[in-house]
Formats: sequence, C-alpha cells, structure tokens
Amino acid sequence: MTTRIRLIIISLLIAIVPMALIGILSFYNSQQLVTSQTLEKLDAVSSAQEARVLEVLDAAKNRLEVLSKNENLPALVSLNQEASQSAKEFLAESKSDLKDFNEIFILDTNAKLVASSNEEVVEIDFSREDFFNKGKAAVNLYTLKILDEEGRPLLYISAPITSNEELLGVLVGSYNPEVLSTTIKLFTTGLGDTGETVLVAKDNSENAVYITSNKFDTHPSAKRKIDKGAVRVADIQALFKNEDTFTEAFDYRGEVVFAATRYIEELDWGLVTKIDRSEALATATVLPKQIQLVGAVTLLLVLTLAWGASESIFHFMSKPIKEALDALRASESRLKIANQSLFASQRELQELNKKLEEKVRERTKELEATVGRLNEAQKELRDKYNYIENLRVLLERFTITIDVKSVMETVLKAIASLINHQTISYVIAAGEGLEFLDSIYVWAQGSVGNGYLASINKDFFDYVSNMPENALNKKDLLDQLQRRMSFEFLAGAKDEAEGKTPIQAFVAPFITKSREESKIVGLFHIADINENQTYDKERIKSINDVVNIAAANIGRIHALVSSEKSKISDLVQSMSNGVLMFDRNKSVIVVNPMMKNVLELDDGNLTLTRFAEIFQKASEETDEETERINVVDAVEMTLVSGRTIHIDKLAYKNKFFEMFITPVRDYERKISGGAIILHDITHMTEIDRMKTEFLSVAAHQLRTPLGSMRWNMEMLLSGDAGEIPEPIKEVIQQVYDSNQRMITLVSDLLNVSRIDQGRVKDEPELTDLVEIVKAAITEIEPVAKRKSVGVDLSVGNGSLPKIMIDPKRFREVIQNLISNAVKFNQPNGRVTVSVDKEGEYMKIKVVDTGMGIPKKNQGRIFSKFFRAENAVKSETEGSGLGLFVVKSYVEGWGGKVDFESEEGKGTAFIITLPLELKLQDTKEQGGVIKKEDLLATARGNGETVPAVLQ
Amino acid sequence: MPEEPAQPIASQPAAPASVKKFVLVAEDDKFYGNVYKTKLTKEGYDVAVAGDGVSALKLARERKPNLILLDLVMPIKDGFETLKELKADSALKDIKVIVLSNLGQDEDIKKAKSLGAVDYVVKANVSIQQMMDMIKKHLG
Repeated sequence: MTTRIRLIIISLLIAIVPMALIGILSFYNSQQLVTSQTLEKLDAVSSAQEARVLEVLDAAKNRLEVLSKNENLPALVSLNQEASQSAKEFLAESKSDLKDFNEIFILDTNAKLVASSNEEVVEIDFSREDFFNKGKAAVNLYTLKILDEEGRPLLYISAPITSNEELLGVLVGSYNPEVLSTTIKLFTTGLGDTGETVLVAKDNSENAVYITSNKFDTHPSAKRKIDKGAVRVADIQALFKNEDTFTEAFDYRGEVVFAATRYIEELDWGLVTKIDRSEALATATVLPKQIQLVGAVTLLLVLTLAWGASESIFHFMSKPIKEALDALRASESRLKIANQSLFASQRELQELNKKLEEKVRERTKELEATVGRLNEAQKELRDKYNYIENLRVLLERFTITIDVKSVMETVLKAIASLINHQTISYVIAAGEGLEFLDSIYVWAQGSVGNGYLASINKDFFDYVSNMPENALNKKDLLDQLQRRMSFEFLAGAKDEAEGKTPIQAFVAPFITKSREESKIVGLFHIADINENQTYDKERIKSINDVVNIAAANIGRIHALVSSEKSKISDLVQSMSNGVLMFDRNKSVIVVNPMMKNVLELDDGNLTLTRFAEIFQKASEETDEETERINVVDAVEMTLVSGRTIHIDKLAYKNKFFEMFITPVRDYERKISGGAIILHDITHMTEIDRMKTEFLSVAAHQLRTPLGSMRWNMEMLLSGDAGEIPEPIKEVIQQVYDSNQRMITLVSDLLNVSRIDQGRVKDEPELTDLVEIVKAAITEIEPVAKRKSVGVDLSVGNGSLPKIMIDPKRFREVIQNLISNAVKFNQPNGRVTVSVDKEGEYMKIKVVDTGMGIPKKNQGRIFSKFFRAENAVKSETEGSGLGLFVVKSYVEGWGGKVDFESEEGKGTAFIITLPLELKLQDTKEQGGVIKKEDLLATARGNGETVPAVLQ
Repeated sequence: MPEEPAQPIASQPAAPASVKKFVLVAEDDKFYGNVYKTKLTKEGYDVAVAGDGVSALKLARERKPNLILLDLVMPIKDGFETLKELKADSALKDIKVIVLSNLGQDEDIKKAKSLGAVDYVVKANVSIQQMMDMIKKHLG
C-alpha cells in the first residue's frame, strides 16, 4: 500500500468515525430533547385544561346553587296548577340568565316533575336518577347520561330546594357539554396542527365515550365508543387506569401520538392532551438532514484533498471538519438554551398559575362562607350590623382586580433570556375600547410616542384580520381597532420623540369565557426594537410559546375573576335590600332591582345627585320625626374616611328605611367606591310605635289614680283639709308609703322595658355629680329619719370636674342605691355616700351598715326582679328592679358597678364612671359609626365638617 | 344638708290680694283639678280650671294668665294641640306653660319641650310641695 493510500484511509477514519458518532449522538439527543420538551408542554396544557374544565363546571354549579337558594323558589314547588305555571315562568326566566344550561327543572320529593323551563313536560319517573337522589342531599356534581337516539351526552347538576331545613324538592339543570368543547378548543397553546384535548367519560354501560366533539371527528361525540381492550389508546388509559401519565400511544384515528393523560377523580372522567408524534418530532428530523449535508461535504473534501495531498494534508483537512463540528455544536447548544429557558418559564408560569388558582380558590371559599352567613343573616336579620358587614365584604369582591403585572414580570424575565432585554416592550390592550394598559417599555423609561403606538395598533389589526372569519368577537375587535387607526394621532404619525418602531413583534389574545360567550377581552404585544437582532426559527417559536402561555394564564385569571363577579352579581340582583353601588368618582355602577322598586324608577338612569334629591324632598314632606341627610356629602365622607355611615330612619313614600353608606375596597385595601344599602324598616317602625304607645298609655293609666291619691293624701297629712287626729294620720301615712312604692314600681317597669328594647336615649349635659347626690340625700332624709338612719356625704379633696351625663338618669341610679342603703339598714345605722375622682374616673361609693347580701345571692343581685332572701323578709315591698336599672345605665355609659358585702355587717356599692362617658343610644355597634362620632372624627382631624346631617 | 323635707309639707302664707297672679289650669281629672285649685288658692293665686283644651284656650284668650299648667291627655283637644295653638297665637305665645302630665316617655317630654313648654312634670313623681316650688319659681 502506498503512503498516499494509507494517508487517505487514516484521514478518512479520523474524519468520518467521530463525525458519524457525533451525528448519531446528536440525532438521538435532539430527539430525546424534543420528546421531553413536548411531553412537558403537554403536561402543562393538560393541567391547565383540567383546571379550566373544573372551573367552568364549578361556576355552573355555583350558579345553580344560588338559584336553588332563591327565596321565591320554595313557594313554587307544588303540583298545584297555578304554582306550576309560575314555576315554569320562573324557570324560563332564570334559564335566560343561565345560557349554558339546556333545561332547568324542578322535581318534588317524590321525583315528580313540577315544572321545567322548556315546553314539553312529560311524565317520567325520575326517582332512580342519580341526579335526583344525590341532589336531595347536597349540591351535586355531574351525572352523565347519554341520550341514545341523539347521541349526545347530557350533564346534570342538581341542588336541593329547602325551606327552614325541610326538603321540598330538587332543582336540576341539564348542562350543555358543548360549552366544555368550546372551552377546551380555545386553549391549544403551542400544540400545532394536530394538538388537541379530548374528554372521555363512562356511559351507563361502562363504555368509554367522548363527551366533547373532537378535532378530526365530526360524529356526534357519544356515537364513538372506545374498545375497552385497546390498551394502547391514550383515552382508555386516562379513564380506566385512573392515573396521570405521559405516553406514546394511539389515538382514536389510529395515529401514533404523544399524550399527557389525566384522570379527573371528582368527575370520573379522563382528559387527554395529545399531539401527533410526527408533528412533534418534525423539528428534530431537520437535524439529521443537516448532519447528512455536513457529512457529505466533509467526505467530498477529505477525498479531494487526500487524493491531491501533500505533507500539509492534515493542516487543510482539519479546518473544515472543525468548522462543521463547531457549527453542529453551536446549533445544538442554542437549541438547548432555548429549550431550557422555555422549560424554566413554563415552570415558573405553572407555579404562578398554581398560586393564583389557590388565591382564587381561597377567595371562592371565603365567598361561599360569606354567602352562607349572608343567607343566615338575611333569613332572620337578627343582627343587621353583621349583615351589613358581610354584605360589604361581598360587595368588595366586585372590585377584585388581578395583578397582571406579576404574570408579566415572569414573562418578561423568560423572554429576556431569549432576546436582548434592553430593547423590548410589552403592551396590553384591554377593556371596552381596547385601551393600552399596563405597558412597559424597557428602553423608553416611560411613555412612548404615537408612532410606536400606531405600529402596535397596526400589529393588532393585522393579527385580528388574520383570524378566521367567524372567530369569536373578531368583528367588534376590528371595529375598535379600525376606529382607533382613524384617529388623527395614530394615522401614520411619525414617532419623532423616539424614532422607534417594533421590529420583531408577537401578538397573543386574552380569551375569557363568560356565561354568555367566549370572547377576546384583550391583546398582548411583545416587541423588540433592535434592528440588528435577527431571530431564528427556534427563538421565535420559544417566544411564541411563552407569549401564548402568558396570554392563556392571564385570560384564565380574567375568566376566574369574572365568573366570581357574576356570582356576586346574581346575589346582589336578587337581594331583598336595595343596593346602589358607586365608584370612586361617585358614578353609579349598579342599582339592584329592589332599589329600583323602592324608588319606583322606570329607567336605570340614577345618579347620586338624583338619589340625594329624592330623599331630601321626601324628608321635607314627611311629618314624621326622621333624619335629614345630604347623601352626596355622606358619600364623600365615606370615600374620604373609609367608615360606614348609618342613618337610623328615613322616610320615603309612606315607608321608612334605614340607610347604610359603606365603603368598598379593592384588593390593595384602597377605597374604590362604596355602596348605599336601604333596609325597609316600615314594619319594625310600626311595631315600635305601637309598643311605645302602649307603654305610654299603660303608664299614664296607672299613674293617674296613684298620683291623685298621692296629692290628696299629702293634703290630708299637711292639714290642708282640716286637722286630723294622730291615729288616723298614721294610717294615712302607711297608705301613702304603699302608694309611693306603687309609683316607683310603675317608673321602674317603664325603665326596664325601655332598657330591654334598647330605647334608652341619653340627654347628657354638663353635670355636677355632687349636687345630684345632695338632692337625692335630701329626698330620702324623711324616710331615713323615720328609720333612725343617718346619711352622710363625703366629697373628695379639691374641686371635682363636672361631667357630661344625663342628670335625670344619674339621679335615678344614685336614688336607687341610697334608698336601698336606707331601707335595708338597722336602727341607728349609717349610710355614707362619697364622691371622688380617681385618675380618669369618678368613684361614687354608697356604704351602709345594713343586713348585707347573703353569699349565695350575691351572683344574682343585678338580675331583673331578683330580691335577696333577707331583703324579702325585712321589706315585703320592692320590685327587684332597682339594681338592674343601676347596672344597665352605668354599663351603658361605659362604667361599672362593684359591690362588697358581708351578711349582717353591711354592703358597699362602688360606681366607677369614666370622665368621658359613652353615649347611650340604642345599641352601640362596633365598626359602624353614628353621626355624632363621625362629626367628632372630622373635627378631630381638623377637617371641615360637611353638612351631612342637619 | 336640706333645710326642709320634701314631704309632707307645710302651708305657706297667702300673698296679698292686690298682686294676685292668675294661674290657668287645664286638667280634666276632677281630683287633680281640686288639688290645684285648693292649693294654689291657698298660696294666694287666682286660679281657673278648664276641663279640656278648647275651653282652656278660650279662657287664656279672655284672661291672659300669668302661667298655664297644662295636662296632656284631655278630651276634645289634647295638650299637645293646645300648646301648639298657644304658641302660634302672638298674644299668648309669651305665657309660660308648664306641662303636668302622667305621660312620662322621653318622646313626650321632648315633644312638649320642642313645642315650647318651659318645664315638664310627671305628676305622680312629684310631691305637691315640689310642684308648688316649681310654680313659684316660674312666677318669679
């Protein structure tokens, strides 16, 4: 063999063997890489799809539940013809709100059909249906039933109808599964032409059937059943193996696919997200072609050079080989980087998504709890303040907005690793007019010129134009964008300030599914302005994927928020209190039907000014004693102070209302608006009035003869009617004393019933407590003298401050205590009353040397009508109300009553009163402020006091 | 310490006839009416008792009393109405009116005072002496 031939063989071996090895390895690696990338993507998509399906069904379930708790419903569950006609109308009307249901019907407890939203009502025995039996117990999930002749699957959602915890029937909704199809089809992120998600369930005979219609199969979904023996079919795996896997399997067409399968346990359904293997690996097959090309060229070079070789043959040979290898390595590593960053961003987004989902779930849970509490409160209205508080919390959900920025930051980070992040921008356009929102221009440090916006608008326009003709709300979007393009500032404006235009741009839509329709609510634009940056295919694909995932995430969050909002909206609409909501600018957002009803409004045109005028006028016209309020000022006050304003009583058209003006906060706890809640208290007012009148008349009728006797006996005793012999005088004195006790009893009873009704109203004035104590002692003196009891007063050193207190009531308190101390004293006993100031408190002590309170009675002395054993024995008369009144008043003022007592030795009562008393006015409520507090707060802050209340 | 117990009470010397002040009492209850009449006369006042609101108004217009003692629950025209008319009449509106009634609810007291009563007394809750002291105070 010649040296030349040897050299050729050696060079060939050196060149080809490693190259072949590298080629094979690269091919194998890239296929591995693409496969794992695909599976991971499939997993992400199928996890999102599962959540979407559950969420859509949850929302449907919640809406049916809200309907089942409608207060009008119980009256409609009757086979009586008239009721069933109203039931039918009720259901038909409700169904027009619940568009994703095909039919809504009511079954009574015997599974008899009471009424249905649809025309035909047939006699079918429903008693064995799952939806009937499960729906009796609780809001039931989804029972699948296949209607054979139609080939359509039906989903039933059922909920119990109850009244006072008694089961009256079951509300059933038949859900349209096509809604699920649409939901799933809208979300095919980065899965190419053959990617899709399919849903599989078991029919009544345990066969697997498709619930939704499939991409390559136009048959009615249920007609296509899957052979249970076909273990390699992904759908079967998902359904019957009850586990989540990634797999390479066959699909319903017999194609080999990559698939992520999930078993949805709650529903006993299988969910499969798949893509054809051939499509998934298309990118990887490009690589072998490159290797073949490089191999062929190298081979040719080696041969040519070897044949004409000289001493320097190795030198020439090594260079192209090295270059070819470098090119290969570079391409491989770039692919790796792109994939890695895609994985990273996918993972991050999944993480974020999970967190947001948790957040929304938490909120939904809270919401359910709130609704529960609200239902309770609404049922009884026992505690209207809690009711209002809960309602306020609920209304706050209206203003939930989601932090799109946190999603966007992740997206930007992911994209920054793919391209030069110094030169990118992102813009979100959303809302009614597709306004530009949430924009970030990394390179501009602030806003950008109109030229840039014009080109973004153009990108949006091109994107929407290229959508299929009948796609979602394409027409509306185009109208919006077109209108904007015709604005002067956008029409071909040059961007002089920045001179930038987006070079590489990506556009993705946010799609939300509300209960009426799916629609694009916003567009998302990512752009790079760097002209020198060229993007290769993988990079574009990676960015596209990230953008799509981000868009899907944001869309999903929007959907969750809007579904939550619609639930709240249902509730607000059906509430039995009038609700008006306004935003931060005092524009009215929502007026519920009850509010319209109260105000007798035909049109929805209600401004706060008009609302204020209505009540202003009404309060001027009424004779009743009601409050006057300037609603607009009160609203302003609520928005500024963030506190709830409560107005006890307002008159309007022969009715009475209490009004709450309460702030509503957004997710950052900033005040975003508020609500006016009107609660009809006409009935309560009437009862209240009757009670007052009854008490008033009863007291009057009792007092008239008692008072007349009192005065007449006083005249007898004082000799005004002529002198009377001493023995007769004594008898008269005894009658007089009994009469006095009767008078006191009437007053006490009246007081107690006022305390019980929470109708104690203070009329505080600056009062010298010592003066009142003195007067009370003067009054008791004659009685004390007769009992030979001395009463002393001891006043603390220095001058005691006067305090704001109702003098009449304080006098009652002190009279009760002193009269007890005298009454239950022994002959020659003493009563010592002392008044002093201790720190921020006034202390009033009444100490006696009387019989004391037996130990076993001490716990009950403040109870109504309670009298201690020894007291009953010594003084047969007495109502047992005095100490109850004392404790009620003193605690109402924010003070306390203590006592120490030893049987046979005496008792000391100690009243502690704060120098600044609490206002005693109906019931004090935490969290709700009265107008007096409000004004005080405003003054305290040095603000001007608006004329909220005159 | 008090110089004098609230009850029972001792009578006061009569005022001279020449400066007799006229007290109009609107009271439908005969027992109360008698007490007022006896006691006030004894104290040296000129007293007239009207049994309802209408005759009280008539007497007030005819004789311009120095003080009116007004019951609330009366036939024909109740005390609130009577008080309203008294205060609406420019010739009578300056006459002091003390409401003496067995109605004692806060609402009644508030209403009477807002209509212009200078004082409000729940009859059963005061002794004659306390009542007389108050009348004397208002007559100056």
